[in-house]
Amino acid sequence: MWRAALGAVLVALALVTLGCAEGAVDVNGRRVDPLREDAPATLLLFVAEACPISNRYVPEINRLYRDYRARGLRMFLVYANPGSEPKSVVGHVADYKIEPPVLIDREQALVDKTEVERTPEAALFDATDTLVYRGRIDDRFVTYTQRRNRVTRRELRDAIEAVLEKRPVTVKTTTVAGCHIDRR
Amino acid sequence: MPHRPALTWLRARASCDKLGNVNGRDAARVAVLVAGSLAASACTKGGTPSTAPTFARDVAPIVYARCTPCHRPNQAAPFAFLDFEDVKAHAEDIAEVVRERIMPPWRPARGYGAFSNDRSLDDTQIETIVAWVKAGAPPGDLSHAPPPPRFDGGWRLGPPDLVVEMPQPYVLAAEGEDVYRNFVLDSALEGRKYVAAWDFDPGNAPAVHHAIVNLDREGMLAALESNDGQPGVDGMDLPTASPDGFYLVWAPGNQPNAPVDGRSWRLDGTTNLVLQLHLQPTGRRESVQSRIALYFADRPSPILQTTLRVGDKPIDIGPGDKDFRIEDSLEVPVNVELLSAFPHAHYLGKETKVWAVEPSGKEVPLLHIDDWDFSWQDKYVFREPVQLPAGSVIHMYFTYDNSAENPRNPNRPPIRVKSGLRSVDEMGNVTFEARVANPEAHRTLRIAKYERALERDGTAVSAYNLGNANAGARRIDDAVTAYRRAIELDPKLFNAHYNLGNLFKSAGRLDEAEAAYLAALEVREHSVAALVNLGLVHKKQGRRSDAQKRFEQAIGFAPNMAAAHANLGVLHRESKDFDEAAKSFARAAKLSPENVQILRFAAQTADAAGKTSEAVAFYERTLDVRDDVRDRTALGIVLARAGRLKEATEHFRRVVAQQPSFEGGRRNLVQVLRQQGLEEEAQAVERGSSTPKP
Repeated sequence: MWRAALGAVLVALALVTLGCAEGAVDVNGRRVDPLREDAPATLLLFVAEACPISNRYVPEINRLYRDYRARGLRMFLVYANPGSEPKSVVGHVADYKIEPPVLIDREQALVDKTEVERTPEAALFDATDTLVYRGRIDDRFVTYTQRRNRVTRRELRDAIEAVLEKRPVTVKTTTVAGCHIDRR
Repeated sequence: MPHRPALTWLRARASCDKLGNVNGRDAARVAVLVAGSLAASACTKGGTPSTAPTFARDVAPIVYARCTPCHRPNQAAPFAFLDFEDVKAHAEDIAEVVRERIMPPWRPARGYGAFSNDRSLDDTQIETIVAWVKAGAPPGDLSHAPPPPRFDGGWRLGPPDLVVEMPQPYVLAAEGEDVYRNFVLDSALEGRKYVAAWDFDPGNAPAVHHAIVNLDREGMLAALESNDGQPGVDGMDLPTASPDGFYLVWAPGNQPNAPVDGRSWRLDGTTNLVLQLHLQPTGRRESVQSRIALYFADRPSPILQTTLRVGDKPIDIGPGDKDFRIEDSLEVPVNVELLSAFPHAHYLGKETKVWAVEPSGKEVPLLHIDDWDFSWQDKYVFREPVQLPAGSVIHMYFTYDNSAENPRNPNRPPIRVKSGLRSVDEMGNVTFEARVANPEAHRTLRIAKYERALERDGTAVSAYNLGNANAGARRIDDAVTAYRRAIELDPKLFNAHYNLGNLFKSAGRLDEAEAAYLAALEVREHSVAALVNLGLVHKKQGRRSDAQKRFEQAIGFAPNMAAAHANLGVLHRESKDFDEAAKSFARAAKLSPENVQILRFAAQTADAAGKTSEAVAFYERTLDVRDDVRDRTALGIVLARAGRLKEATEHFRRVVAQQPSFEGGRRNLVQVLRQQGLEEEAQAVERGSSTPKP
């Protein structure tokens, strides 16, 4: 089933790329296509300024960035809610000392491309820009208000390791406990 | 559990539509998208059908009343719901959390016990919100929407009488496990007050999950500090006391209770407040500096309360045990009214149920939480106080899940977990606020409570509390036994030695009192209270120079302690050294300007030392604090003796007016009138027919 869906996603990606220019911009308003440059792996991590769950993940997000940058992971935090403006994003980055580069998905093109629905939700692409993992960072949150004291599964790290080592990703999707991304 | 909704209504949008790209997953979406746009256009063209809820008419009243108290700027909740746009932006999240009853947070099972602080939504309200989101979250006629509630940002009960603030902020790390931190706060209060109401300002709402305020009446925790360089100390349960049967809990969204029926709890200047914060990391470093607002009553509470606790059975849960259970019951020896229930367990708690059985056999449901979530601690206030006749039995059980499937289990793999106060240990109890009718019942209930506690936990603190309860009931022998047991269990428990000393002193058992105070001073060499009381014992023993030495020692350690100066003053006065006595009282009165007893002593001593104007001034200050005929009479006499007859007359007139039955007052007035040659009025007063002019 995954195979079929993934095939469909690939078709979708092609169509999207043809159909409209990628809409993400950086905080200075410059267009950025996060998948344009060659990289062994690219991670889009969708976050929101006002989502307490994605905020609680910031330290782990910074660690992911530090741990994998040298090994070739390209990583962007993506703000995709309609209210996300350069000003609010810059403030959030400063407030929470966010380290990876950030994008604003103004037209929600990246949301469409990855089909993420929540924050924080990860979309991991391999060197061929194939979506190989979509879902949670780890299993810390069970629901909005229920947290594990100990993380027991770190699916995103597992997926990143696999891609960087050119192994197949075993767990390809997970459900995310987080805030809905508001659609335009 | 969050899940991918099969139908994602809000996917209807214009940009980068992928209608040409249809796969299995998207097919449904496209269909929905079409249907959604049709519905949406129908709405915008023909107006919202009256069956579909609108924000203005249906949703705003619910959200503003039930969500906005927390979901507003600078509160615990993450986003503000102050207008249509705010709410629409989170419509899907809202529908999900209300449908699953995650929000508003409210744990008790429906239909078992009734609570005045119930925050939950009823089924109709939930259906309204869900239907509104399904319909595309239509605004309706926003010009007719209710205005959002206004919050002026100040204390909700008005300006407090006293604000106690953490002297320095606690810095919470950006991430990590939740922190339970306790702060011992000095109220910096002079004398005694009665607290009728309180409010809490977390100082950093997103980081503060809930707060509990207890008291350290005995200064047992004064030396509490941690070695992490931060204020306060970690821990979930400390040997503190709830204030006079009040259980003070704050959780986001709680409304402070206005004073009820004159109910209040006693706060002495010597009592420290112990603030426990449950802190949760937010993703950035947070600085937390909370404040407690206190509102004072004029007089002691006319209502007697105590807390009752049921539970605390030994816990020993093997790894993997999914259904460990403790049960407990408590028979109330007197008629009680239960006002509230506060259940408590740690991470592994699963379910708790609490009920009472009256002597007639009638069962009274109290509280049921079928999905315990330790992160939502709350006090559940009964809508109507629950009346239980003497002999009723309160029952409870708590169950625990120590399996790996319990996501809240802090141990991977699960390990054996036993009873204990640390958050990694387990607990299981329910604390009630209980009201009783009279002091006799209050004493009986408190003694029963601590006897049980001592039997259960065998701790020095329980023995000590039992000592206090017995001492309060003047059951001297039982109190002595309990204090001695406390000392046996913990020889360093200063308060047990000290209170034992107080008990012997009040019973006139002076040598035993001396021994107890000396033992207290072994534990805490600088205790001025023990020194002063030991001095008083010496005085009664006739050892005046030893007494003076103790008072002077106390003053050496605490030059600002009014009681030490005052007692030294009494000693000097008794030795007829009025000049030294007057000096001591003047110092004491300066340190404790509203203490009637000290002011009265100061006045009497100044008078004895022949310092009339000082005596007059001290009596006037005494009367400013509390108008008492004895002090007014004494003032009149001083004035009359000094020849200030007119002033004396005024005071004697007031005394007679205030207390016509006081014969001495009448005689004083007659005498001072005659001294001024006002024979006619004097006779009228003597006959009792004159109404003296005040």
